Amino acid sequence: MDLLRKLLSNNRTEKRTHMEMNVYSSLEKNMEFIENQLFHSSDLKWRSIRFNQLEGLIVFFESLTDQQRIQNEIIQPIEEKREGTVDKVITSLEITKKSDLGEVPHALLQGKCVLLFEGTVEVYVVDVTAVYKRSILEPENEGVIRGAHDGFIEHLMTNLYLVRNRLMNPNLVVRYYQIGKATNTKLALLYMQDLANSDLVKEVDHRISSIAMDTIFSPGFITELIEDNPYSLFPQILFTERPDRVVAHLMEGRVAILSDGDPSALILPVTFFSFYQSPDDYHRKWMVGSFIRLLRLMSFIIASLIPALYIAIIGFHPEILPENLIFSVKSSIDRVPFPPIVEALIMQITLEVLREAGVRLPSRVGQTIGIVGGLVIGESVVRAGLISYPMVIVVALTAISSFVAPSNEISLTTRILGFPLMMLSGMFGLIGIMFGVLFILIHLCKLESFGTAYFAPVMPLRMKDLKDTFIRFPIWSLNQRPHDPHPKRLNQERNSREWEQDDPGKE
Amino acid sequence: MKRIYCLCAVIFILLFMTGCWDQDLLKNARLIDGGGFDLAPNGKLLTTLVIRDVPASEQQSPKNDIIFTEGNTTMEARDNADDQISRHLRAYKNRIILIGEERAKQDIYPIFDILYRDPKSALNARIGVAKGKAADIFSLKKVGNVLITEEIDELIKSKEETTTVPKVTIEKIYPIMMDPGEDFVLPYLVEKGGRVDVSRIAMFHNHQFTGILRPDESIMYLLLKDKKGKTARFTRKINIRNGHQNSYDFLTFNVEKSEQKMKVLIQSGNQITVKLDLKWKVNIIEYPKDRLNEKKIVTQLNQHLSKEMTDLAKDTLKKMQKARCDGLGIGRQLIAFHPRIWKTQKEDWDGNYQKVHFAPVIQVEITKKGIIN
Amino acid sequence: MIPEKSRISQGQFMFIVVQSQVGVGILSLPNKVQAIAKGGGWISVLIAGLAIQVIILILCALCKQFPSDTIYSFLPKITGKFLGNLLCFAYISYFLLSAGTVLAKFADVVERWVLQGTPRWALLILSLLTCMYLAIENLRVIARLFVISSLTIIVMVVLSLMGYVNVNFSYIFPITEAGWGKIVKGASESLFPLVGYEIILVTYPFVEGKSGGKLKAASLGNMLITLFYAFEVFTCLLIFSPAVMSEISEPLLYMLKGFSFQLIQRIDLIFLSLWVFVVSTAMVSWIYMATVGLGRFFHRGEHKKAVPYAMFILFILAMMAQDPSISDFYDRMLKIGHYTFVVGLPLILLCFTYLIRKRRT
Repeated sequence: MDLLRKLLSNNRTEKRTHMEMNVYSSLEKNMEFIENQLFHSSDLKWRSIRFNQLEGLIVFFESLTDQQRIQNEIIQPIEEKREGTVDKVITSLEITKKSDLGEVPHALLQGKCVLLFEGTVEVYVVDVTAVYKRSILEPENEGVIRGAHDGFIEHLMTNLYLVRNRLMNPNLVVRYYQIGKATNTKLALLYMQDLANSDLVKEVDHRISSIAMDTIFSPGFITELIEDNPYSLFPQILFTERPDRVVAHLMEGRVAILSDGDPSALILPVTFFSFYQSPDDYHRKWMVGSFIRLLRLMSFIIASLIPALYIAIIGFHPEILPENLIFSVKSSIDRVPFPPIVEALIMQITLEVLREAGVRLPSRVGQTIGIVGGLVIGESVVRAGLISYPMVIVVALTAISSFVAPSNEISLTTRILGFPLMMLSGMFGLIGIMFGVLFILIHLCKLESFGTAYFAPVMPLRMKDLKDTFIRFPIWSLNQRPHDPHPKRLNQERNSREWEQDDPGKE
Repeated sequence: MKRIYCLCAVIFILLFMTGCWDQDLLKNARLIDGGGFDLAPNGKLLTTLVIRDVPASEQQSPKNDIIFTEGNTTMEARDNADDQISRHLRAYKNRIILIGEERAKQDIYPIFDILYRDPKSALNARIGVAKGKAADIFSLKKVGNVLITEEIDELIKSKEETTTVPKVTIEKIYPIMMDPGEDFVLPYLVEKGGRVDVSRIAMFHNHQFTGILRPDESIMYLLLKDKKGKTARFTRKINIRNGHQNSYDFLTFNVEKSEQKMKVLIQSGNQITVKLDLKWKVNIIEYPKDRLNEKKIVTQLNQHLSKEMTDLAKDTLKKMQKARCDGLGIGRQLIAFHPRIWKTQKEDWDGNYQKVHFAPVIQVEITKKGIIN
Repeated sequence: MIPEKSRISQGQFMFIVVQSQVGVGILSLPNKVQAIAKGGGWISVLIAGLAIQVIILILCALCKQFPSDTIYSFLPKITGKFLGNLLCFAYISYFLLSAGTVLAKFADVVERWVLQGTPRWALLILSLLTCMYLAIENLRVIARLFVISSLTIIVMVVLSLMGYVNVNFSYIFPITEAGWGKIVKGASESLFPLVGYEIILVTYPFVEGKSGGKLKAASLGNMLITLFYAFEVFTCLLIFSPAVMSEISEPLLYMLKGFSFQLIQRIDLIFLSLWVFVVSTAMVSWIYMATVGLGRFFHRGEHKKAVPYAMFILFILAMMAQDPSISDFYDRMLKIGHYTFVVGLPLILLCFTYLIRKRRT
């Protein structure tokens, strides 16, 4: 099996390498070849020049290149000097000589311009790529109150700049990949040479290079192609648009993947609890941060369990409710025609629909949706006697708690987890929920991504890592990095508050 | 592997299609809020069930629906009631069970059997004995604006805090009821002019109602048992020399802290002596004569109250012995610490209990007197 | 011999012992022990714990002789191939029967306390599917879950602490009412809720570290569980008078039934739900023990493949146990099986191996 796969993968790489071809000495032939290769695309432009008394051509894509730069860096010097060596005359930063004509169309597609001269069997490839990018803004879906407000954009170089700028360390390694046979998407793999486990890096490298798809639109594709358990509901790779988050994870010995054309960075391997950590936690006092983090984790439990618990209580074990509560609940549900499971399903699905509608619509219309959803549906559905007040409360609570999660992926997962639990509780009551929870726990402890247990440090239990899991201990007490990505160096500090010992005699 | 997943899915779907076997929807339930048991003329059990119905809109107040049925057993009577009402009768939120005086004079365990056997029953319901008929108390329906069951429940709860009645739920009396060495007591409810009065204790022996304790005796019993609630108040007459009634002669005090020591001693001839030492720290609540800053008067009062209270304790214990109610669990003490004596006494514990010699000593010490002297 | 992937640490080993030992027995143990040993029931449990400690010593000593073999691979080495394999099958059936009994008792309790109307097969399928999902994994994953689900034991202790609101200390006196003979007899009764430490026989080679550490871990696990059981029995004895104890078959649940918090009542349901965790893990460990053997014989060491039909066997066993006479039969078989396979046989084997070693040297 393995052998077969190897053979296949070899085939693939062979196909990718094009036929090697020498540059013709005739300009026209060269031009014809390039045009044929690019199928006479209309945005392929050329301009003839004279240099060293030789007829020459500048070929470029007007859609990909910066024509101002062509003018300033190539045409102007050449027109002025008229003679000399090409490398010295042209003021561009990147200029390479190529003798393989087959590479030329590819170089053109990357936004370079190509210089050809009559009778010369070499071409000059000059980088004059146009860069159109938006400014660095705070990512909307990952806002924080304190802390850095910059976010990744769709331009890989800018993103790398943002990371490098924060991590001025020679150990930060960037590896480029080009994947997608058709789209040629550029990927960058980032890791710390002295921290990231070399097995992990090797594994990630192996998985990325084995991607054989021809279109890679988004990091979502990459995730699905490289993650360990595609059948699991839980996200196993963390998406983030925040450079500070990427840096923090890199410093824990994890690996980040950035891709051109998308502002999200993929961080792996991550544990379940990384999805509930936010950079905000570290900007607050540690006690406050701990409280907020506990709140978030609790909201995970609430969001996935509360509807199921409510169904179990109303449908199976009403005796759980105390006297004063049961009558107020009963007065509201007495008129509802559906069994609680149906009631819950209706409301949950309505909620999801409203949420999805809100995402798609422009923000002004989105507000209307909020009003329609919140007021009209919430209120009148109860007035009409279709749904009971407690159910509306339960569903609203679910929604709010699930949105607390700092990562959008996990918040969706939470709510979807609620559905099977609801079914189980509709069949077996509390016992069913317990089995459902047990099942989820088993699933969580089975999951592994890139050799890391997903539910670490709880399963397997590692007390030291719990310091930064449910609550956040003061930063000076976090002497060790988390163990889950198996970093090369565990210790990250010894005593950052050494000054306390330094000056006991001063006072 | 895929086949197994498929199989699992099929099983799950099948389960879901047929599921919900145990569903017991809250909206289909009629909740019993209280139940009363009386002796019907024909010897059957006359059951009064109070059902609380909640209105759909918030403006209306909840209502009680009262059903009277007869049956040989609790469950039969409940089933008979279920025949008369819509939806299902459910007892899992029962708050109060009242037993009529006449019924209480017989063995009451059979009434409770269903409550102990059913996994869903409300074991934290309170129990009381009603003077006359339980049905009569429930027939009040409302006291003021409060539903009768709620009123009784809250009333007993507040009386538990003032150490007037014992904290008794169905669950708590179960171990005592089955134990040969101890008897339980219950609150005694009296209907008075459209209101319910809870201040007395009904004594039981062998699951049978045998007597009543007066309000002050009730408090005394609970203090002897070391089951003080939040407060425990007595009002005593101080000056006995003056024949005529004078409101200056009375003193009200609250037992702040009570230390109880009970010792069961076996003397020659199997004479059982129970020594009860109580040390009270009391707070004077009301004493119109004032002058509590004088040490002499305080000491006098201490002595006087100690004597009074010891007498009251003696009366209380005598009354209990007369009713054969072993509410202090003397038998239990014998079983646990003098098993040999218990073996000889076991056969005729009813009679032997009445021969037990109680020696209560109560020491009262005034420690607080409010904000005036 | 043992792949790196399924190695477990000693701490995990301890929790595996803990979780295998806590099972269905806990709910009814106070009732059963009290029937024999009266107020001294908790002493019986402690004695049983001590006895198990001795058995654990024997089992560990036996396993130590074959540091990289499970019972299924060292049995043939000691007794010869034919007899060894035969004994292995006996062990497998003992483990399967244990799992089946656990399952049946679990279903009984749930049917009595919560789901009166739910057909037994539905409940069995639900629990078996969940257990299967875990049992097909390697030991390391199983150990991970066991560590976490041990938290439920702490919650269970906390919940039963609430029972101390209405305790009566005179209920356990006189402690030796039944006499020491009866207390020891009660200990033999309370040995059965504590079974599960047999997992040592199967998991011993997977544990990292030296044999001394392994023994320590197993002993610590056993000690924790014995204390936990003794505590629960003690609590029940304090709460229920002797006469009531004989009436209630699950005192541990019953004592929580009347309690209420501000927001929830019926604490027993909460307790029962947590107990689901505990029972499932115990069941998984029995299944694991059995399927490792089955896997060794039929699937070249892949216990995963044996799980589905082991599940089927368990389902049949638990369905049959609906009849009280059959479940009594199971109990009797288990008692015999326990004494022969876990106490007697290992002792004989141990002596045997010592003899062989001596003769060789």
